[in-house]
Amino acid sequence: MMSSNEDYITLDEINNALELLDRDEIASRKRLATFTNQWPTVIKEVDSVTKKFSTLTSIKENLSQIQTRIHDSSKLAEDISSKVRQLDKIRGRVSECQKRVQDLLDLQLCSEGVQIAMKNDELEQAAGHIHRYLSIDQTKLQRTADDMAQDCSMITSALKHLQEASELLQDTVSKRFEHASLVQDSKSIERYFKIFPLLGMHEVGLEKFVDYLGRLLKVSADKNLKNVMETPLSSNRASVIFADGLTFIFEEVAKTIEVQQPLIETHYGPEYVLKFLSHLQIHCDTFGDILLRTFLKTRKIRELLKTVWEESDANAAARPDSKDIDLLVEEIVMILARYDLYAQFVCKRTVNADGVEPKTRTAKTVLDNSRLCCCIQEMMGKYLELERYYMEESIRKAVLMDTIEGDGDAALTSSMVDDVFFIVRKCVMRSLRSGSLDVLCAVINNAVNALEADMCAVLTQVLSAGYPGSGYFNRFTPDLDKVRRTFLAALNSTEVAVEYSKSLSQAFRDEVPARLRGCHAEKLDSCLHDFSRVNASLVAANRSGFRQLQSSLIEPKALAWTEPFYEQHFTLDETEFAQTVADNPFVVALVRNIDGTLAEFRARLTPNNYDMLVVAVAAETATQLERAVMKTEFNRLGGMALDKVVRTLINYFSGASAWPVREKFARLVQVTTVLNLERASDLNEFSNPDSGMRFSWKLTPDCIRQILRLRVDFREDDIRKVQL
Amino acid sequence: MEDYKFLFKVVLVGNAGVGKTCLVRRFTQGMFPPGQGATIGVDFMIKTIEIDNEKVKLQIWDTAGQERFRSITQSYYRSAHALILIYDITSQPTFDCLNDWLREIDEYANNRVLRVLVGNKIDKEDREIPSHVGQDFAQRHDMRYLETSAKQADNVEKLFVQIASELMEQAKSKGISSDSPQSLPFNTRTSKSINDYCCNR
Ligand SMILES: Nc1nc2c(ncn2[C@@H]2O[C@H](COP(=O)(O)OP(=O)(O)OP(=O)(O)O)[C@@H](O)[C@H]2O)c(=O)[nH]1
Ligand SMILES: [Mg+2]
Repeated sequence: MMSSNEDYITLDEINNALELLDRDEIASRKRLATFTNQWPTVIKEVDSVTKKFSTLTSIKENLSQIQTRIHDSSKLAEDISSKVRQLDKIRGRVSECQKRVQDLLDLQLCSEGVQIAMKNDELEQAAGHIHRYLSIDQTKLQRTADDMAQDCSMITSALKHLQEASELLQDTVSKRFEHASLVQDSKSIERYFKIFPLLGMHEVGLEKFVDYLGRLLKVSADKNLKNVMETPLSSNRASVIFADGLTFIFEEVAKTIEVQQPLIETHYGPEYVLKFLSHLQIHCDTFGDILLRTFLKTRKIRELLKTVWEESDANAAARPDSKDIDLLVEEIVMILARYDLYAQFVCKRTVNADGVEPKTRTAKTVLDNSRLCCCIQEMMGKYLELERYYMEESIRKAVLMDTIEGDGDAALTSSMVDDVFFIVRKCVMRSLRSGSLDVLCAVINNAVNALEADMCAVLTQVLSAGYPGSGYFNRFTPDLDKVRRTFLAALNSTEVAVEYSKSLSQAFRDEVPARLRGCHAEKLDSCLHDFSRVNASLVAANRSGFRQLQSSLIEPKALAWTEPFYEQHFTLDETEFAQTVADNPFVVALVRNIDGTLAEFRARLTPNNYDMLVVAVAAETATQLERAVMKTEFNRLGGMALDKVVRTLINYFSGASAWPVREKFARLVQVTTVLNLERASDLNEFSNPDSGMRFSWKLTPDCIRQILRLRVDFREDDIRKVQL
Repeated sequence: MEDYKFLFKVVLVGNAGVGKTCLVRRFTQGMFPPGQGATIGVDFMIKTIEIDNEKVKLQIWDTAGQERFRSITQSYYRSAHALILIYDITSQPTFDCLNDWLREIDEYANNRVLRVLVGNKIDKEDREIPSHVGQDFAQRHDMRYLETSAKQADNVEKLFVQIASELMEQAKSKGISSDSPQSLPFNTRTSKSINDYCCNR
């Protein structure tokens, strides 16, 4: 709005500007007046603010006063609390002092009391006093005596008395315990046994007590051993008498533990149970050791183990009879089972004592490190060797005494497979009773090894030796029929054995975990998995058997059956064709021959093996027939006649087997299809993608041309023109 | 089917105290167990490792070296795909026993089993068997050779991985291993007939 004077050019413009300035002036005056009116209020407010400032100064003073006060109180509080602490300390000293006085009084009382009690031979009372004396803090007692240096004669003499009395009492109780234990005065023994801990003689008392218990146990263990040794062979327990003997020992020891444990917990404390167990175990070790060594000697186990693995068959007579070994193994496994039971009993002891299983030493560690456990582990080794011998020997016998069963309607089977799996099951289930997974797994391993090395090997041997066919030379084979029966039985056995092997390993998988404590399922599974090795080996044997059948039976037969095909001719006129269709002696004879042969095997083979045979015969017949066809000339009608032959065969085989056989004739059917063509050029239809026919050739183009050339009525030119 | 392509059994043998359990613990749990007690019977562990993107499950049997467990140990030789024979390089007697162990192995094991000789405890100062002696012995008996320390984790992983790869190689070159799970002619759990496998000649 304001601008320099040069800008006002006209009067009008100047007037306008003046008017504007006037208006401005008026407005400014008005504003000034308003300000002047407000001035007193402002002054008033400034006054009141100034007044308030003075009050603030006093507040600040107050605050600093409060601060000092707080500071003072906290100091005061600190003083008080330190005083309280001092008071506490003093009170502690006072009560300590009171205790010392009480101790001193007690000491006096004990000292007097023990003398009176000793004089009256009241050992429990005396021990009670000593116990009180021992529970007084000996170092403090000494300090008290020192503190009262000028007048300590009373204390010193009391202490002396008590020390003497304590020694005397310890000596007396020990001696009396010895005596009581010598004369087996069980009442006194228990009495003194309870006094030991009062005198602080826990270790000594426990040791002496266990010695005594050990002596008691020894008496019955000796009697037991004598009893074992004197048991006549005629006794019906004779074969398990050592297992019985060991059981007796374990029961005696277990009874002792059961009876004494509460006593020890009450009078010695739960922490002494483990010590008790480990002392007692030493005695148990000794008895067990003697008995087990006697067992080894009496049953001549070391000698047996030596002869058992002698290789020479010449010495076969000297080899132990598996029946005897069976009994022995039965007894050893019973011994192992009884130890397992005993171990379970002992291991539960310390768990009960503390509620929770202690981390460090447990009854289990005591037992695991015991001599007895070591003997048992050695026994397990011997068990495993003998069990293996029994198993292998029994399998060997089963193989030797193998008889072939099944006449008339039943399939040929060998008794061997049944027997072998019975033996294996028996041995494994027996080892389960030992209570040890390691033992069980080892027996399973040995069983798998034996099945593989003995049973599978025998079957493989029979099956790869071959099936004697009806060739010229075989006519002179002695027992031809027997050899054939053996072969077929072995073939069936491989199939049966696979079933047995699978169901046996499954049975173990199902049954074992429920019957074995702490069974590590994966460990067991890994061992059972090895049964698949047996299965694989059986399958291989079965395959090799079929290869033999193929070469000595199926191929020569099929060759002979298809031989008459060459005598036929397939360039037929209408009359010949009609006659052939009505009655084809070749097909009739072929089917009759095949059926005759199959019938021979139908009853002798297991269903699966039979079906497999049918399929093999079908395949071979198709192959041989194809070979013959490839050497024959055809015309259209001849091709149609062949088609009839092939259909008849397929129908027959489809009825003979539960398995699909059509596939085995696929090639022959294609050959026939080609021979049935009206014109060679019809073949183009097959390869034309638009024809809608989906045809996958099993024949090569060369082969197809070769077949086309069999048709006397096809010209070479046309054949060459066919697109393939 | 479990999640692995190959399954192999590896069995460790050798005198008591040579460090079999420590080697297995180091490999399977990555630790060196303090105060390892003698093994009782035989211990079983599983570890699945990956080699060339294929899962290989190793079932490891750690046998007890003490004489009285020999019958248990013997039963495992036959099913082993690989046997690890271990001695302690600071202990001549454990080396001297190798011949006895080999005799056992020859008697019981499959003669195609992969055998590896291991000298353990190379972290220790008091070596008694020089490296080349172990090497020679292994060569003479047609075994692989490796020196390890379970304590310092030297060569432990390598030991097992090498075994696994070699077994895998073998299995592959045999077509399919007769013991790898996917190729078992029979799965023991199914009850397919024997002939399912035989008819496809
Ligand atoms: N310094 C050192 N000590 C080892 C090594 N491996 C094992 N040890 C020690 O050797 C001792 C025996 O080890 P284990 O693994 O129990 O031996 P083991 O071969 O399993 O013995 P058994 O089970 O009785 O057959 C233990 O005290 C281990 O600490 C190692 O690599 N270096
Ligand atoms: Mg070990």
